[in-house]
Amino acid sequence: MTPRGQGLRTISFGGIVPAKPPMIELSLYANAFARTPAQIIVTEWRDLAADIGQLLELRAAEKTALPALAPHALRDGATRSLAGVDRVTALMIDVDTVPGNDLGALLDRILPPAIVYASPSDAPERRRVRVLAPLRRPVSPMVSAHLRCAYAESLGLAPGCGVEGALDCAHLFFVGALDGTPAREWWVVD
Amino acid sequence: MIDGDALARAPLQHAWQTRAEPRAPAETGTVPDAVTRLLAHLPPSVSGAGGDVALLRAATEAATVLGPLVSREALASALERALTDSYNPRCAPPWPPAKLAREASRAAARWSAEETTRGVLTRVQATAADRETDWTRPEPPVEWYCEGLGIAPSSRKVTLIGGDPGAGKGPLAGHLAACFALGLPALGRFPVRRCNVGYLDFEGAILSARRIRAHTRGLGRDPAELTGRLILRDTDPDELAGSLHSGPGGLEWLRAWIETHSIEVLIVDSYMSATASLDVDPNSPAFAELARRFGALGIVAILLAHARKLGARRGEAPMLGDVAGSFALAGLAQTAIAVWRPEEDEPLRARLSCMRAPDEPFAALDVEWIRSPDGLTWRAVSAGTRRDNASADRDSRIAFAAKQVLGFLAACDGIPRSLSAIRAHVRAPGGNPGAKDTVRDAVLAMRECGWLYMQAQTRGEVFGLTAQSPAPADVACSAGKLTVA
Repeated sequence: MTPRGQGLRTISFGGIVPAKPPMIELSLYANAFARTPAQIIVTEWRDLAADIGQLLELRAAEKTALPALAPHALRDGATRSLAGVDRVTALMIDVDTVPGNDLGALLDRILPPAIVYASPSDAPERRRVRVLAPLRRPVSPMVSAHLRCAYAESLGLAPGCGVEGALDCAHLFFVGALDGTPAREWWVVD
Repeated sequence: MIDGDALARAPLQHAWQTRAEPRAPAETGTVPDAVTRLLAHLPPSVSGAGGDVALLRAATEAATVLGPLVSREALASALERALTDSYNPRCAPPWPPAKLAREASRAAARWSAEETTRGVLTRVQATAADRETDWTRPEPPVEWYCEGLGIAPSSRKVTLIGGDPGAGKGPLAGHLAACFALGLPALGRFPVRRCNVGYLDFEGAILSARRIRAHTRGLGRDPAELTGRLILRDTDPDELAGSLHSGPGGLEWLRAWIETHSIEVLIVDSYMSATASLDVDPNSPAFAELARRFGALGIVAILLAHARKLGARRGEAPMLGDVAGSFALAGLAQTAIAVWRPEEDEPLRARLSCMRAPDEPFAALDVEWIRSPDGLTWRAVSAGTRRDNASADRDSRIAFAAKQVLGFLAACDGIPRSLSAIRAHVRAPGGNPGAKDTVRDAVLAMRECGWLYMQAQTRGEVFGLTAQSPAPADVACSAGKLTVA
C-alpha cells in the first residue's frame, strides 16, 4: 500500500504574486455546529493579532460552544464544507503534541509573521497550540492540505503531532477558554 | 508572509496521512494449524503424476484458509511459508523455493481478486435489496458534466476515449481537462460544468503539462488560471498496483487525493499504461478490474484506452469492441468516444464519433489541432451524423480508387484489364492495398458514368477506358456517384 501523499508530484502552473500583501480574511463561526460564518474578519495583520487576543477571552462550558476560526472564505451561498471553500487565506495548523512539550523551542522555529495561541484544551503537561500564519496571497483549497503539511515540516513537526487531524481546509479551530480554566496564552511572532 | 506557491512546490518529507491498519495476527511467522492440517490431507505433488496441478490446488486451497487470517499484503509470503514448511517436504522431488514463491503469489492474487468480487457482489445485492426502484417518482435528471459529449458521472461506469496510438486521444483529453477546469465549452460548442480536474498521467506528465498549457493558451486563457483547478499528477503504475487492494474499495491514496483536491473529473492517461504493473492479460476480464474501481469512485472517470491493434481498421471508426482488452472494459463504458484519423495524410485531423452514450449519441465531427505561437487551438472541419460521416468516408474512398483506376488504365495503352489486375494496382489512402469492395464499387460507379467499357472474355471480364473518361484529377464522388469536378 502506498501512503497517501507520498511521492506526490504536482505540477504548479505558477501565478502572479501581488506586490502588496493583501488583507487577511478569516471566517469566524459561532460554534462547532454553525454551518455559515457569524462574521467575516477582513483585517490587516497587526489588527488581527489584537482581535485574536479578544477572542481568547471568550469562555464557554464546552469546547463545541466556543467560537471557532477558519482561515478560509466560502463561496457565495455555500455552507462550511470542503467543497464550499473558495479560497484559503492563511495557514493554520493544530499542534496537539509539541515535540518534547517544549513550546519555547517551537516558537523559536516559527518565522514571522505568525500568531500562536493556546487551544482550549491546552495544559502545562501537554501543550496544545494553534499556529496561524498569513499567506502572501490566497490559495486554492486544493493545495491547502499540502501547504499545512509542508508548513508543519518547516517547523520541525512530524506526523503524530496533530497536524494531520486538521488538514481539511474547512476545519474549524476553536478559540477561547473553557470555564474554570486559566486564560489562554497567545504569542505574536513579528 | 508565507509564499504559498513556493511552499506548494516543496516536497513533503513525511507521509502525513494515516495508513489503513493491516489485519493483525498470524502474519507470516508461523503456519496456522488449520493450514498445516489442510495441506497434510492434500495429495502431494509428484513429478510425472500431475505434480503441477497438485501444487496449484494446494496453494489455492491454502489461500482460502489463510486469506481471512492475514492481510492481503502478507498473504503471498504466508502461503509461501505454509507450502515450504507443510507441503513441500512431501513432494517428490521437492519444488525449488522460486517455484513455491511464484505459486504462492499467484494463489494470493487469485484469492484477493475473488474476495473483491465477493465483496462487490454482496454490496450490489444489498444495494439492490435496499433501494428498490420507486416507479412512481419522477425520473431524476442526469447530472451532466458535458451533455454535448454525453459525459456524466455514474455508479460503477466510466467514460472511455478510445483510439489508435497517435490518433489524438491525448490532445482531446488535454483540451477537455482545460475546459472542465476553466468552465469553457469543449471544442467551442459543448458547454461543460466547471469543476476541479485530476489528471493521472502514467506516460510522463512533463509533456502533458506542456500540452495542457498550450491548450489553455489556445483557449485564450492564462495557464496560471489552472492553479488549484487542474491537478496533474505524474503517477507511477507501480504505485497504483501497490494500492489496488488498500482500503475498503482499494486505491486509498487516490480517494484521498480526490477528496483533498475536490476533484470531480478524473482523467487517466492512459488506461493501458496504468495497468502496466498489474500483470494482467489485456484480453482477460481482469483487465477491466481497475476500470471498475475507477468507476466506483463516484466521480466522472475518463479513461484513455488504446484501440486493439488487430481490431482497429485503418481509416475507419473504432467500435466499442475494438477498445483494448476484453469486452469487460467496453461493458463498463457509460460513454465511449472514438478518436481516429479519417485521412491518413492528415495527421492533425481527428474524427470524434460516439460509440456509446447514456442518451442521444453526439454527431460525429472532425477536428484539426493547430499549433501556433498562441497555443494549441482547434478547428472543427466538418460535422454530421455518424451515418453521414460513414457515407462521406465511402465517397472519399471511391473517388480515391477511381482516380487510380483511371490512371492505371490510361497507362495500359488501351489494353483492357481484369478486375483483379486493377485491384492489384489500386492503393488505399496511406499506401495500403485497396479494399476489394471499394475497388469494385469504384469500377461499377465508373461503368455507370460510361467511363469504362466491359468485355467478357474466356477468363472473365476485363475493363477499359472509354472516350468519356475524364482526367483522374477531375474526379469527385458524392453519395456513391462519380462526377467530374
